[in-house]
Amino acid sequence: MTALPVLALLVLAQASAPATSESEGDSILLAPKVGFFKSTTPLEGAPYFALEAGYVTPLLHRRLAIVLEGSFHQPKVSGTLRDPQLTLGDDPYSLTEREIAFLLSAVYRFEGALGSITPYAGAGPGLYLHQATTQAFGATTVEKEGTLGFQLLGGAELRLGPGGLFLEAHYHFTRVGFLTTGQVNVGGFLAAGLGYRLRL
Amino acid sequence: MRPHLLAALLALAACSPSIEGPTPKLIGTINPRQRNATPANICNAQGGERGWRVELLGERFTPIPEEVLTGEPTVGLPSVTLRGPATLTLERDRVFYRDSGLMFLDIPTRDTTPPATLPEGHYALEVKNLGGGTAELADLLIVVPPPTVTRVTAPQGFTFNDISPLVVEGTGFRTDTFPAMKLIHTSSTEAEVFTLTVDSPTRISTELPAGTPAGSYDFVLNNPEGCSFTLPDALTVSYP
Repeated sequence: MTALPVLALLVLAQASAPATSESEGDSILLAPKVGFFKSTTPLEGAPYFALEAGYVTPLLHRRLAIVLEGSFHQPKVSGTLRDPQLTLGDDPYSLTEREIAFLLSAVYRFEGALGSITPYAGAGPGLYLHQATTQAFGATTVEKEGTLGFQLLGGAELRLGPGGLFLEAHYHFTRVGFLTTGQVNVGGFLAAGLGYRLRL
Repeated sequence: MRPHLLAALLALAACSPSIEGPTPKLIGTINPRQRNATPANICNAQGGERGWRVELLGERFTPIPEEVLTGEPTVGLPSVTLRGPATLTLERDRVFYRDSGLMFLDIPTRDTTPPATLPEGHYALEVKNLGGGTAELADLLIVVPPPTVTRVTAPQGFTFNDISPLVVEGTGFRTDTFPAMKLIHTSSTEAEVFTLTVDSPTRISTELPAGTPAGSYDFVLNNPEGCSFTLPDALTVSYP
């Protein structure tokens, strides 16, 4: 929470600063990204793939961007089921939670705050499409559900060529209510998301 | 259809919860005390605390892991319901999973803990895989009453050197089976009595073996599905 006042001051300072060197023609952002996502649940960490498309609005001296990101990751967890009702003893299981998300975020870019490095932060709602595939007792069960959630994101972009190389982190909050998973937030943290953001 | 309406419908469809898994198939039931009788007969009384065990044969019985991400995973067993003169969904601890083709069911009776009243008659069984479909098959279980014996008589008296015809009167006798019967002497010695015919649900014809010692006897009748009845001092054997 202590970061919030600092963030607010940075936004205020940036809002009164002159616009940066980007021209009106650089309003479209396009960025593929990869990363490593770790849910706050027992799901194991998994690679994260995403494609981001954004628009730098004229608002706040062209520092506010609206970004739509489509992402995919598929963490797993496995273990052993123990129950006195199983007459042959323990049985292994595995659960794969595939998540395809569409994240709409408002992103404030601190253009010029650190020279060629542009920090940025954002938040917004997300539509999270979940599919939990469970394998146990020699059979496969598939549960699907779409839920609304939200995400927070922050990162830093290093100007490089026609765009910028960036490193960012996310926090996703998205609940599911599957029989197999239970009622739980399967969101978590995207750590070390890496990509290249092209300005068109 | 307008594009935004189509998009809204697609989004709605994507968000709707759904679950897909195997649909079970039911084949039959077996009472382990009477393996050759199909469908299984089950008595609606006695059975100790757990009731009477039945083997349920089928395909694709599929438990699922539950609450995997919220703590210690549990097992979601297929749900089993008896439908007939009464409807009873078995409690979880009465369903045992062996494999995808066999489950064991402990059917409660009026004497189990807790008790359950299952009127006599034919019952369908319904099995629902929590993560998939449901199967139901009619006449998969026959619930029968326990026997009672009200009187054992020797209409022609007793003959020591020959068999002596006996008539057993009571209720709950089944004409399609041969109950096991025995006499227990006050000295605790036992004598098997073999069924000749189950004449009706209320009458059995049998005979006392030659050479049976004189004295007072308790009479015990066991129906093949498990229920039994003991009539104390049912028969006093005396020879002229």
